[in-house]
Amino acid sequence: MGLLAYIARRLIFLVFILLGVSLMVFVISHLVPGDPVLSLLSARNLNNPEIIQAYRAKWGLDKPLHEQYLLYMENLVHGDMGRSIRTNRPVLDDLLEFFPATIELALLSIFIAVSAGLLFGIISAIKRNSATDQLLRSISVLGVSTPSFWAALVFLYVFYYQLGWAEGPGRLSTFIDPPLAVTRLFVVDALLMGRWDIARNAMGHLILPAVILGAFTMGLITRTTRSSLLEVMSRAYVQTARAKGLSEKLVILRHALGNALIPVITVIGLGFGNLLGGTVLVETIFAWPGIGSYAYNSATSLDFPAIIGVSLLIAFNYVCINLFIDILYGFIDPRVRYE
Amino acid sequence: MRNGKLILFIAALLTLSLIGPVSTTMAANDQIVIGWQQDTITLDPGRAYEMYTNLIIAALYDPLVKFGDSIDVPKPYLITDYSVSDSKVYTFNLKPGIKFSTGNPLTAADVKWTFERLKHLKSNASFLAKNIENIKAVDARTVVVTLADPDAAFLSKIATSSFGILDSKRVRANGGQADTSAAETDKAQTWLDTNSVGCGPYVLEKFSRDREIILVRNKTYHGPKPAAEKIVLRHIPDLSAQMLMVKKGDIDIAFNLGPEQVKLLKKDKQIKILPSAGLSMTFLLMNQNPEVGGPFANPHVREAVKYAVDYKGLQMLAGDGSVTPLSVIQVGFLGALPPRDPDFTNLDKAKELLAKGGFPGGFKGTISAITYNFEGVDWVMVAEKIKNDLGKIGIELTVKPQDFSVGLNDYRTGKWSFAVSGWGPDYPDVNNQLAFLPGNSVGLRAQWNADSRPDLTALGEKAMVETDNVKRSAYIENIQRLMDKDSPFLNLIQHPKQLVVRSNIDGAKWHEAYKLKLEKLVKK
Repeated sequence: MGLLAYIARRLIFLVFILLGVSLMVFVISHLVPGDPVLSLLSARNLNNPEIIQAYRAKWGLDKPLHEQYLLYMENLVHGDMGRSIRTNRPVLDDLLEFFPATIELALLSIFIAVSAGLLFGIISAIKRNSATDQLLRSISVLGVSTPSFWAALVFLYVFYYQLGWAEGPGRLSTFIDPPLAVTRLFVVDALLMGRWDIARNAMGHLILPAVILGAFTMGLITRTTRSSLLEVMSRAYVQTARAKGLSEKLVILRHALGNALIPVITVIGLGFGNLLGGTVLVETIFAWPGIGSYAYNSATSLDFPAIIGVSLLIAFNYVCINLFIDILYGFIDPRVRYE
Repeated sequence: MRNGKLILFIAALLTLSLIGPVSTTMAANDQIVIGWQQDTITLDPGRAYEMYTNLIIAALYDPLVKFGDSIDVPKPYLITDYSVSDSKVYTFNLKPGIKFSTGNPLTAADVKWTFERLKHLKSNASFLAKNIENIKAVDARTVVVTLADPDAAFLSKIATSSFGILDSKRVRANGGQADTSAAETDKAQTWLDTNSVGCGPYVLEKFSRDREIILVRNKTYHGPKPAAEKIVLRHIPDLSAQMLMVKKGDIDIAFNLGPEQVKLLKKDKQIKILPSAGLSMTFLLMNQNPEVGGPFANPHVREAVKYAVDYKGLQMLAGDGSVTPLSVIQVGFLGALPPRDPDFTNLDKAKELLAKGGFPGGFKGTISAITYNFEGVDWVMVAEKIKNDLGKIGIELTVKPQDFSVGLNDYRTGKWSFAVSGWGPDYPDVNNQLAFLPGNSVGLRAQWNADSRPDLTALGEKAMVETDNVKRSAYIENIQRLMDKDSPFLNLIQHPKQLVVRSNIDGAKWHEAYKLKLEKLVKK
């Protein structure tokens, strides 16, 4: 009962967070010294006051700011996120088109980051101050500090162009049709269709951007796992476990790791939230039609409905991920109570 | 245990994807893949107004008249002939037997409906039809268009893809409207984004935003059968990625490569570089209003800037084939004078002029530039170059990079004091460039009002309506000479256009009106 009440309370809180985000983004994007009419109408049409007026009226830009906001919120309550000024399509349709590409990339990136990060972190902690530890710590520093756009270009050149180990930019190769949309995650949908060839092709396209995006979070996870594990391993109950004669492997896996995971999970959650927000540079280099490029294009043309739509989506992701992590804490550490 | 299996499965998938070289599906000989920076917002000819999208619309929708290889005078295309009376009344006779890709015959009613819809949509392209006063479908094959005022560029305008003729029956059935309320009532855009109803060489098979656009041969096309059955335009926004893909053969044509990438491809035997003169230009804007422009509002300072700029260096930045037009009329247009000598720079004269203008020791100022890569040249980099050039005569500039929408706002509201900007013509006719004259749209961005130079304003008005090209050419020449003496605009670069194609591709040629005539592409 405690957990359910806690989730319900957090979900109610989510509504207020989204409300706050929408208000903040609305105000900030209108404070920018730009005018969407100037960005989106041609120079010729800007000389025609009649067209400017019609354009403002069409997109509700002629109304006072608070009215624009209230109208937006009223539509939002009815499930309408408005129409993008730039693409002239419902924002929801745009998000549904671009977000799955980002989810697919984020899932693989976080999988790579967590697998490698945890493994490196544990090995580093066990072999503290050894050459292996130094090497893994260097890899984690490299992951955190290498500019992703640079790594993307180098990886593309080496693994796609020179070695031919990975596919080039895009989600699929030319002349390979996307699988039937069920989840809109190409690898999953292709497997559901039983089309191994499409799944393999989609995976070949995913791998390079996923490794590059995963590298940053991997670095953070490695470092957090290492330090957290080292701290836990000096605790009395770990010493007791050792004194009982348990093997080092059992001591770490059964007694130390679980307790060391709390801060690691926080880092994983934040990393995943970050990945779900899209990354413009990597998406651009790999021609990945994700939410990052959509957000960038919307921001540069001051497409207010799209900007707010993307912001709400990202805020929603973070809140949900945080909620999930909070719940997970309880499973990892029974002392956590949802009061 | 279940989790363990899932992890193993994903790991296996990951590994398999990396085992051995991947097999890329190569395009067959009748399929051509183009890598480009997709700028498509819509494929509705009445609404699309993006720089490169018209290469697709031109392949889907034929206009009444069309440019050949050059952009001098458009030739009859869907018509047998036309006549002009009173400089304002154009009578077009449609060719018999032409069908839309839908199977419906092309009629005068479709032409009337298409023109009226474009005018009434109040879209970015609608200005092209603004001067049309009246359109009559006299019979099934005769259309009479009456203009409000004579317009020397009318035929050039209707040769653009915005005037591509639509199957009006089909578009009406899918929410299309052409009457005066079309701006509010027309709902055909979404449908036209996934369906094409023209009589061009290709039909639309698929439009996937930010991914790809696929065209297939139009079986009812009235002209010669295009060589390629299928054309795929893949969105590859990063130019380095576009370069690698054309080198590897995953794309047949790289559409947007700039001078940096072209340099790296010169020695590749599998690649052909096809240079061509473009019409886009990068220029300096110097505000005429002393309160905004400061020292740049002074004519002596403007002339000093003209002498201080290193044109040769700028042309190297823009790549092979770039030139510096004498004024705002690009080389290639009717009446264009020969370009400026790249060795025009004269620092002593520039310093002398600066002193004459009251600034013997120079001054401090700001140069604005939008963070934008235009035709492969970064505007901020151009601003840095100008800062360096003008620094030699004592003008100390601070470069002010601006976000696109913020910079555009300053530009369009005439707030820029001194800035780097760019321009690509809306339609391929020299009259388009008259926008730079005092009181016209671009002139006003530099607060150059109509009454400040009555001589230029009068010349511009004459050129705008003169249908005799010899006389029009003389006006244009005169405008260039006057603007070279003094104007708020200093043209820096007319950008070359370099298409990069695989060596087995023929028929690729940059076209200023339609960018690339897709129906001419052949893969050997």
